Amino acid sequence: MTRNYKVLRISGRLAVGLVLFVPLLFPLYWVVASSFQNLSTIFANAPQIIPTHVTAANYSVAFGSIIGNIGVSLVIALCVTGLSWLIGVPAAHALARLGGTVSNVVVMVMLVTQMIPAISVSVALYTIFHQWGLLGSYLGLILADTSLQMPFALIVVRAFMVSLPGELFDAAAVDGAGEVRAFTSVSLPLAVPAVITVGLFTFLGGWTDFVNALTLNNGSGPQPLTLGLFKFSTQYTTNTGAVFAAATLAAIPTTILLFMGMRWIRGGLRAGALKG
Amino acid sequence: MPIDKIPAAHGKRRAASILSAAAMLVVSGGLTTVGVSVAGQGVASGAPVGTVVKAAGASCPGGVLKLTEEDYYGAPSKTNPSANGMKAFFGNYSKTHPCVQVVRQGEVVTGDAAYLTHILSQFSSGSQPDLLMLDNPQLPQFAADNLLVPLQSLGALPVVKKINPANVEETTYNGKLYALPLDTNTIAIFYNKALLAENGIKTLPKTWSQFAADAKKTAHGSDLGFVFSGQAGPGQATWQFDPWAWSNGASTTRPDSPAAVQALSFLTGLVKDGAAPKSVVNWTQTQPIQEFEAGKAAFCENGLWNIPTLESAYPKLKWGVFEIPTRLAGQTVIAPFGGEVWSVPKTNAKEEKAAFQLLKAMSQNINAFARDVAGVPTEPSLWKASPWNESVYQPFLAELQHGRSRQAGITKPANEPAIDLDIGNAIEAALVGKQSPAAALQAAQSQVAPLLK
Amino acid sequence: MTATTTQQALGERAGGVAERLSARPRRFLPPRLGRRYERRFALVAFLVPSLVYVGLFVAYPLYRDIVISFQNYGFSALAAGHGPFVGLANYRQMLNDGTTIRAIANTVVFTLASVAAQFVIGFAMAVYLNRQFAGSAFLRRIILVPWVMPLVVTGTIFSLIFASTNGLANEVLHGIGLVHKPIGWLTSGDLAVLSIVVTNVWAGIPFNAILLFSGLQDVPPEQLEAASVDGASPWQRFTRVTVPMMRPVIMIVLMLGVVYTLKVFDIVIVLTNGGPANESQLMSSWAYTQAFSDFQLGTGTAVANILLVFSLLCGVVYVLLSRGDNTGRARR
Repeated sequence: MTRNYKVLRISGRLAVGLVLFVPLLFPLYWVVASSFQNLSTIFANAPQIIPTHVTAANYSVAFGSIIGNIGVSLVIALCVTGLSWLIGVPAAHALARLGGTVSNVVVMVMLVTQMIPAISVSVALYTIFHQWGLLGSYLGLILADTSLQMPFALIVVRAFMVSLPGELFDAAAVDGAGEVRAFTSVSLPLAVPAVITVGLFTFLGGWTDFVNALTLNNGSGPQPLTLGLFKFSTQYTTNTGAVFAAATLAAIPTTILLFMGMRWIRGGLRAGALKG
Repeated sequence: MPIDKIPAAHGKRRAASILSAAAMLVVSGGLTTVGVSVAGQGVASGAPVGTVVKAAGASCPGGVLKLTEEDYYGAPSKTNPSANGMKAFFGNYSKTHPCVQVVRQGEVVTGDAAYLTHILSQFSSGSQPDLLMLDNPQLPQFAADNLLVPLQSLGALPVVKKINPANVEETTYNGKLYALPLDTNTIAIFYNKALLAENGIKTLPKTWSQFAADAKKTAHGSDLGFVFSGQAGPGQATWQFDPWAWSNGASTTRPDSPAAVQALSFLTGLVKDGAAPKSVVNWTQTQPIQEFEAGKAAFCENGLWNIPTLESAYPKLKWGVFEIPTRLAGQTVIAPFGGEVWSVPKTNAKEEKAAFQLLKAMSQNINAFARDVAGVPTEPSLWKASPWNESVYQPFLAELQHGRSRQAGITKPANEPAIDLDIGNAIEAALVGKQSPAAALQAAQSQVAPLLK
Repeated sequence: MTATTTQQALGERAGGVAERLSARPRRFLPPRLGRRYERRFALVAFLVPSLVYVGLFVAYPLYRDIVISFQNYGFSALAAGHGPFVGLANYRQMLNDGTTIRAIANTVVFTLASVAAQFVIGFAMAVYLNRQFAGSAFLRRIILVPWVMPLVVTGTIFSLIFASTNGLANEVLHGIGLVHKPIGWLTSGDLAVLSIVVTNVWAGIPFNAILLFSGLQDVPPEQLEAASVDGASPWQRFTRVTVPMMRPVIMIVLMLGVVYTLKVFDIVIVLTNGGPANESQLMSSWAYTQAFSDFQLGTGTAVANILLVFSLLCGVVYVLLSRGDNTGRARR
């Protein structure tokens, strides 16, 4: 009896699990499986769930086009990360140390920037970047993306630094250490986990940006992965096999990053969103 | 010209046409000059070298004049005959005119508004090109904003007399010629011979009812029947709708006329009936021709610019072309003109004059240009020569003889793009069944009315 | 190793600079005051770049955006670099356009439906994952894959899924016998909106699931045990202990969901581009379409500004809820 009940319970759980997770994960499998099938001929049927005739032809079409975009995205995302660190982390230290109304107001302002839809400023950014000659350039995209990412870096690192015990700084002050030193030798080394976490998030932010890539490219200039994939899929409308391959290639870098940086990402999710 | 024609967006389809590309290079007289100094991309490294050579070679009062040219054909490559042709011609021109250095800017190739915003931002910062290529419906806006030089104020253009008068009218604004149309094009119906035979269709349809019946016969299983573009946008739905409506007696200035409603009801009926796929409402001109190339569509409304690619890249596909069917037998097909036009932006007297001379040289080379960009020459006398004497061109040429400019009858031609969009939105609304064709076109009429004043 | 030593070296050098800096005022001021002065100066110097940056790339564009929304900014304005002032004309024109009304309605429906579905499914997943079982750790990892990938990729994948021929959605529905003729997901307005919602829910579930999972782990087991001892059923334990304990987390997940869903742009552009017949426009995509393909920069920014007001209102609620001491945001 109990045995039967147990079997029933386990299979019930399994069924619930399947209902919950299959719709989430199966599309990923379907895309990868389809990317290895020849779908562009007149005789091709719908993608098969288990590919019988595996081909790499789709990848030879997609790779040459997408790889360049991946390179562009890598440069942009790395620069966005670096710039966000450079500006955001010292500011986070300052705010953590200053405290008071000034600090609260600045944090509030930074928080508000996170609410602004990117599309709401893109027309203005377009006209401004045109004046400054930044349209269709790496620098323009990096600056625009950083404006979305840097405040986030600042907010999270500040929250972490606020939680550092004040005695550490007092001890440093007794040593005669200046504020620059308090930053470089006390708060920065201790905040490394938070800094890495925001680095990952700002990297992802720069990597996934589409609004700026679409509106600030001026028709020429560097094409990040998002824009490249968008154009690829609108160009290869009937060669769906190649689009499957391109989508798969485009999903690989962030997946690698996810598995490499899992512990920081999870920490960031908790620190970033749950410190209420 | 319909936006889709942009060769770079079709690079894939031209992959197999290396041979024809090479032939085109020879035709435009430039094989030897390829790789000299003038490629759009290689300007930075190439230009100074060329300048030095020239300065030494000839005495140029005031030095070598640098002329910039802008088009949207993209970077030269073995799959891009249009850009190769441009590069070769300008390279050759710079060689034979020692005091002029033509720098081609062709990197902005996007089919959406990016080319226009790019050009406009150049104007606003005073960095506009000296010679500018535009899609023909865009020209009046530039002329109306006083951004271009009336060509005949710069000198005589004998070629104008030879160009089809309707094409000249298309580039005339307020009585002044603002650009030269070198090539033109239009749309007709491509058909798949195998699919027609398979479905027992022996004679090509001439009227709407014949066409509807035939399209229906060919739409079953994964075969799509008739494919066209039903998405609003420059050179999309409205441009594809025009020949059906115009041939039936409608005009752009009265979107809600009974003749126009009949035409839209016809196309909507094809979709409702399953003779055309529902997806047409989401399609630009790219998808239909790709479906046709893949052998999935029996009929495809599309432009003559596809001919070189279809010939070279799809040797197994057996296809032909016929004129757009008319509601009643014997109605004349009136089709819209596509094609690019070349203008001289306002800059300085010296540059304007030099750009005009360059344009004049181009106009003496219409044959090669039309080939490079996969159009037909605007000089009808050239149509007797190859490749335009091929049978697949004849339905297009017949239509072009009665062709109409999309700005025709519009008091303020600069409003044409806005009118095009309003009508395009009506077409979309009717195709998805949001509104009846009559109601949709009535809504368009009320939006269009103030633009026609 | 090298990294640490470099860091230390840098630290020492920087400290040295600071000391030299601070040495000067010390001559004129009492030492403590001087150091405080120096400290303030350094902190302000740390802070200023971030403020300048936000001023230059967020505040100034916002200001310009508002200005443009009061201008007739079209073809001629682009060529001239500025447009004539037209007062509220853009806003009036925008609100007279049926598509704007449809876009606002779509945005509201899209946001509420997405957030609700993401939350419910995400919570169910979180509860499911809150037990240790073979593969649970791996599952927690792999479900984040949809979340980290660019939304353009998500949109591309779902445009293949919702394709009327050979798309996964129709194949599955046909396979289980629910439909006999392929459904045109992207060729009817209402189904196109549904497709966008489904896509966005798929992309947003992992974020909800992981945050709520973290919240679940913070519920003290003793309390659940105590309730259990008192004879509460699992469902009662969930509604009377778990949910109340998780209230702050739940509020934040929901508010962040709303704020980030309002912004969604990539999915709709890639999947439907607002079509067919503008029936699936969201405010974000409609603003883009007006400004960047219809050349109505003035009305485009007007639409964008209405969206901005929506977002900021939700943002205010979020900030109030998290009592101003929140650090938060997460992607989307």
